[in-house]
Amino acid sequence: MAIGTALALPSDEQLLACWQGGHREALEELFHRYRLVAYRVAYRLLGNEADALDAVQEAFVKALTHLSGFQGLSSFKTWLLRVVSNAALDFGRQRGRRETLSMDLLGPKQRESLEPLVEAEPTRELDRADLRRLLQKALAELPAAQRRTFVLHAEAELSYREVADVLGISIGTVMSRLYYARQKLRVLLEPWTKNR
Amino acid sequence: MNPSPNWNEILAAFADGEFEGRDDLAFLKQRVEEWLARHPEAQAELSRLRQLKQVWQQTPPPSPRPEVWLKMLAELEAAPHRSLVKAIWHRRLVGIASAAACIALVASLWWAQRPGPVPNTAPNDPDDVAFSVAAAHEVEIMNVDGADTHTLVVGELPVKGPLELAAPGEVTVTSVQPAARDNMMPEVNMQGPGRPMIWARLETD
Repeated sequence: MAIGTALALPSDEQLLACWQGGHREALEELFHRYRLVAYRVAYRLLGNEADALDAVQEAFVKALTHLSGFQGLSSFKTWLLRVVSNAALDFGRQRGRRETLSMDLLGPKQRESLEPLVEAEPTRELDRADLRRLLQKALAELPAAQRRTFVLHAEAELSYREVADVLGISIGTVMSRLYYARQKLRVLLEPWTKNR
Repeated sequence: MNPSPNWNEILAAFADGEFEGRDDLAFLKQRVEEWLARHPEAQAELSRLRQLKQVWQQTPPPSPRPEVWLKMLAELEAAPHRSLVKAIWHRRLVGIASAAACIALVASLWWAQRPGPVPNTAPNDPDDVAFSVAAAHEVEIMNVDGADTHTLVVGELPVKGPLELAAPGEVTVTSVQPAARDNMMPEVNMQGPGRPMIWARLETD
């Protein structure tokens, strides 16, 4: 079955059914649709590319092998994002202590080299990298529940209702967590915003 | 004064576009717009919310190289089915382990309750060591009969067999009165092996 020609724009459910029927192209299409959003969420929660990619891979495997977990409850996207954010927080917890220790052993130049800075406009991109680093640091200061709620909304562009479904909480709780997360981020980013 | 105790959250929802295309929230959206028109401090708060959003959008995570995605896809194409088999086996093993733990638990309870041999009083006998059939973390209590009593009884009852409150000859039945609640007359059996047995409703109120 040719996914791209027989079906103009197959739904996620159709793709999943095809994949379960043994059509690998369906998995490729699903992966292509959601790999970036999954990666961006994981990156924001973990703060580095390598861990984010590990979390994405693990999340895809888990999401696909536990499809019964989402069927009838939410979309594949929200199911995947729930799994990826869970995986990212688990990775963060597992590696947190080890990373802290290893970062303490690195010098400032070595730490700088961990951030990818290969862009066209060096000055602007350096500025952006600094800001990204600052933002990551501020995010890391948030409690896990607020960080996850904020990242799912701001990075995955999920509506309040979708975030509530992903996390299994009420919309009121989503609003409250977003409010407190923003308040804290604003305070933590204040040094940067004052210099603009 | 703000119009609602959750005003900041409502303003954030407005900034996030949560009211767009929602007829049921049109009134609230209009109220926010009116509030914004009359209150510069609310406008300033809205600007701050938008500034944070802008900062967020200006700093997207760096994109991985395309070959990273290709490698991951290749691994995924192999992994899910493999993992699925692994997951099924994992579930089976968990089931087998749970069943084994239950059997071990029942066996250990039976072992503990069976009539025991004459206790060995030899001190520090090396063979007199408890044989653990399952560690605490290997046993999961799935259900407790009578859980609605909010009581979990662990261990043995403090008294086995009949509870003897008085010896023969220590009790003398002088009179028997019907119960006030239902006028039932307690039964008194004086034909037993030397002690009276009184059979009456227990007052539990």
